[in-house]
This record gives sequence, C-alpha cells and structure tokens, in this order.
Amino acid sequence: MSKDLYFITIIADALKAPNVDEALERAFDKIRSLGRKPQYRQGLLQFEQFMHRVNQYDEKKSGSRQETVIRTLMVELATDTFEGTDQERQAIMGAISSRSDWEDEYRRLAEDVEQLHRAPTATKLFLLRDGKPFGSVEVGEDSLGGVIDGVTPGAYCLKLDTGRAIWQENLTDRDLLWTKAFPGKPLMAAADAGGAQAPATRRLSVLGGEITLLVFAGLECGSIEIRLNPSVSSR
Amino acid sequence: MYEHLPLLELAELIADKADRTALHELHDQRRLFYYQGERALRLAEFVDRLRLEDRSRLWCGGDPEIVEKAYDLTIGKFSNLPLRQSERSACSGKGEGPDCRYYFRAFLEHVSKKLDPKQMESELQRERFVAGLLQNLVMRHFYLSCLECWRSFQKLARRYVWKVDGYPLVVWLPLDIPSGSSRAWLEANVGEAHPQRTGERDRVQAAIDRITTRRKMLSLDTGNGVEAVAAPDRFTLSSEEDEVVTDLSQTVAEEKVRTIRCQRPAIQELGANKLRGLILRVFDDLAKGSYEPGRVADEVGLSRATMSRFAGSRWSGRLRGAVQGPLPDLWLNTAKMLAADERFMRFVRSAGLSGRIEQVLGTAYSGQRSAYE
Repeated sequence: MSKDLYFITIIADALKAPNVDEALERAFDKIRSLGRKPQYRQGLLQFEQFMHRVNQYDEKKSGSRQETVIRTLMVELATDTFEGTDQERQAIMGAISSRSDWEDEYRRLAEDVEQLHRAPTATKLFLLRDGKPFGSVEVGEDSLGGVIDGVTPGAYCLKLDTGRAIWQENLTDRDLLWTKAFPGKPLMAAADAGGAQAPATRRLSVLGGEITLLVFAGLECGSIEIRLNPSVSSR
Repeated sequence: MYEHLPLLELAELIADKADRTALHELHDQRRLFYYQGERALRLAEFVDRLRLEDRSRLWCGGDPEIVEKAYDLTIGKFSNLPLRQSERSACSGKGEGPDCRYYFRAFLEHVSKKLDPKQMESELQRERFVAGLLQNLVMRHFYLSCLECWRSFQKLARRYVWKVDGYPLVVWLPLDIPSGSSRAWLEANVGEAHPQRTGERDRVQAAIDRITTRRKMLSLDTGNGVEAVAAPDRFTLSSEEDEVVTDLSQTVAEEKVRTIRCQRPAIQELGANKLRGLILRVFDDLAKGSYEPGRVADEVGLSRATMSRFAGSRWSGRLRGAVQGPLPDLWLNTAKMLAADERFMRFVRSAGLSGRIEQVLGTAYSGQRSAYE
C-alpha cells in the first residue's frame, strides 16, 4: 500500500462494499489506526487535508444549491412566471431581502427585465407592395395614423411590427386612378394631391374595426390612409 | 399561409398539431421580442442578445461554452419538433432533444392565466401583451437552460434513469434526494409518468424543478436555511440504486476525461483515452501499494513535475510544519467526487467528522500533534 496515499484505497474499497455505511466506519477506523504508525504519519496528515477539501466542496455545493434556488425564484418573480401563491411570493421576497447581495441581484434583474420590455409606445404598421416594403405609419397614443402616397396598382399587404399580416389585397386602377374610379367626374384638388378629403374608393375595416384603411384615387397614383380607431383600441 | 394568424393561434397550431408551417412562421416572420430599445427581434435574435449578457456568464459559472449550450438548448425548446415516423427512419439519432410542443403548451397555459380577453379587447394590445408573456417565458427558459447545462457540468444534480413499465425516462435529480430513494421520491412527488409520450421527459423535469424549488423556498421561509429537498428519513436505501460512486477510480477517471479541456496543457495533450488509462493505472498502483509517480510519468511520457502536480503522492511540505502544499489535481477531483456522494457525506456528517477534521486541521497546521495520533 502506498503509505502517503493509503487512505485513498481504503475509502475506494469501502465504497464498493455492500453495506457502505458500515464499510466506511471500518475504513475510517483503519485510517486512524494506521495513521498512528510513524510510516503513515505523512499519509494521515494528507488525509486530513484531503478531508478538509471534501468538506469545503460539500459546503460549496450546499451554497451553490441555495444560490440556484434563490436565483430560480428571482427569475420567476422578475419575469412574472412564478406560479405560487401571494403568501409564497411574499415569503420569497422576504428571503431575498434578508441578504443584501440577493436583494441587489433581484433589483438589477427586475430592472433589466423591465428595460428589455421597453417597446415603443406606438405600433408601427408596414405596408408592403408585392412583398417589398413600401411605406409605414405609426399608430398609438400619440398618433392616430398617417397617409402613404404613391400607391400604384399591385398586391398590397399591411403588417404589424410583429410581422403579423392584418390585411392583404390587390389594388387596381379602379381603386387608385381617378379617371377609372370616377369616370367623367372632374378631379378634385385634394384628390389630385392624394389628400384625405376626397371620397375614398375603398374603406376597409381590419382587426375588428381597430384599424381603418381608406384608399384614395389620384391622377397618376393613389394613396392609402391608415387610421387607428381609439374607441375600439382602448376597449 | 399563416401570416394573418395571431400569435396565440400559431402557438396552438404548434402545440396541438405539431404544425411546422406555423413554427416557421413564428420563427422566421414574427418579430415579437424587444431588447433594450432595439427594433423588434425574432426569437433567435432575442435569445442571442441574452446569450451575450454578462448575467448569462454568471448563470453559467463564467464558462462561455456552457452559455453556448444554453443558447442551443433554449432555441431547441422553442423550435424542436419530434420527427415524423417516416423521417425518423431516414435520420436515426436526429430530432432528439426538447419537444417545443411542451413549451408552447406551457405558454398557452400561462397566457390563459394572465390574459382576460374581456379586459383587453384591443387586438393590437392583446398581440403585444401576449408577445410580452412569451418574451418572459423565453427568458425564464433561457435561465433554466443555463442551469441545466451548468448542473450537468457541475454535477449539482445527478442523472437518473427512471424506468416506468420498462421504458426509460432520463431526468436530473437534486443530490439531496438520496440515490436509493429516487424512484420512491419520483412516484410520491411526480406521480405517474409515461415515457413513451412526447414531451414527457420535459414535463417530468419541469415538475421536479418546480417541486424542489418550492420545497427549498418553504424551507427558506421557516428560517431553516435551504435544507434537503426531502427528508431523508422517509426513504430507505436500496443497494441496486446506490450508484453515485461505487467505483471511485472509474468515477474520477470519467470526470477527468469529461473535463479534459480544463486540465493542464500537458494532460490535455494525452487525449481522453490515455488520460483515462493513466488515472486507472494510478488507482491500481495505489491499491497494489506500488505507486511511484516518477515511474508512471516516465512511462506515459509526462514530465515528473507535471505528474507531481497532477497526481503527486506527497504534497505536504513538512510533516509537522505549518506548510500545506496544494493538493494535486487528481486528489482534488477525488475529494470533489466524494463530496458529491451523499452516502459518503452522510457518514462524514453523522460521524461528526467534518467538524472534527476542521478541528484537527486547526491544530495540525499550527504545528501541533494530530488528534488522530
């Protein structure tokens, strides 16, 4: 037996025994007993250092588990995915507050999660023509919409900034050109400029009436006005 | 085809019908996520931003490779659909990993708890609100992925094969649950399991995580600190499941091989097979009483200095002096493996050895006689 590391083999043998608890007890007795002999003193000293390490790892492991649990709960609370009761929530908050480093970590995490969600207050609506970006307007608290000019016949699609299409249709000469939409009628000045005062050739309601699209005809091209209906969107 | 569908309907198609077109629409076309004022991002782009955060490194123990694995795992959780029967035969081994249907189902359940359609009739607001819930859930799962990758690396948990009706279900259990009681614990806490069901492994693992987290949280509440997740007294040990460390040399060898890239350059150069052979040889020589680090070093082509740092037999500078040399790597690793073995630590604690050894060390290092003599 290698005397400086004699304890390694003794422990390894004990772990293979059918009754590990008993075997470990015998193993430690043997380690102590041999350690009294002069030729094993170095080995005993090293055994003590070795066991000191084992205990350090054990403590670290317990600490890591505690950190893991707390961190998991912090993430669940910060992301509002915690599914426990209010009482449990309060208990966790109490535990987090019990240590300043946990409290700081949670505060930073909660702030960051809030920051991550800081989306623009307005929703951007993208108009695509034949699958390519054509124009955009914003709707929200500060903006009820806008007008996109220069609309010529083609396949149009209106998408939310999330990528969801909310309207898709082909617009034709009869929608966009005054002479086709209103044959024989004189061109109105506003319509000439693609203004909103002219009669719309199409009025389309999308998203359950939350958004209205108005198509106007012009001399060479038309326009689309996109309007948010606040009464619907604030319901 | 699905570009008009609201996010919730896409999620339903994925969860209920494993609809790949819906999955592609969600991943490729939808920009649902916000990250610090950036324009709306796709799911993978958002997880990529999380991956680059300092916090992710912290969650992964500072190891960039674990962060990468956590990134892949998170993307897999939200994109991986099991292969169809026909596809499975064509590409064996592929298509394994998380099943995104489970995660989208969890998302739908989460939405049903958080969203009251009567309170939020605006579709614009609803779409954004639901996207926000998905963002939160993705973030939580990114954290859990970090945790899973980290614990598989650190062995804070152990892998357990739960056999139900002859079918295996591989889960991670906290080390607090005695190894011999894993089955009893799972049956008592998780209940029935059906390994053949799609997403069952994820469901069971999530249940384990939820239960163990809850128990520890309650433990915190009572002021007992974070204690064992289940009272060990409730369980009895069964020898056939005592598999944590039965063969110390094999366990240490496998652990060293698994972490070979963290070893000293000269040890890394040995390669996995030679390293495994070297460790088994060291343990074997120790058992035979013939261990001579210098001789082994010469035989395997390592310098004696490297061998001494790796598996030296004498690290304490002076027998009775205050000098404590650093433990060689292999013995540090052995100590770590033993600390992870609940049976070993239970014995050490019950025998009062932990405190005693600290006491002993306190005197031994100050040059006094060891209490063991």
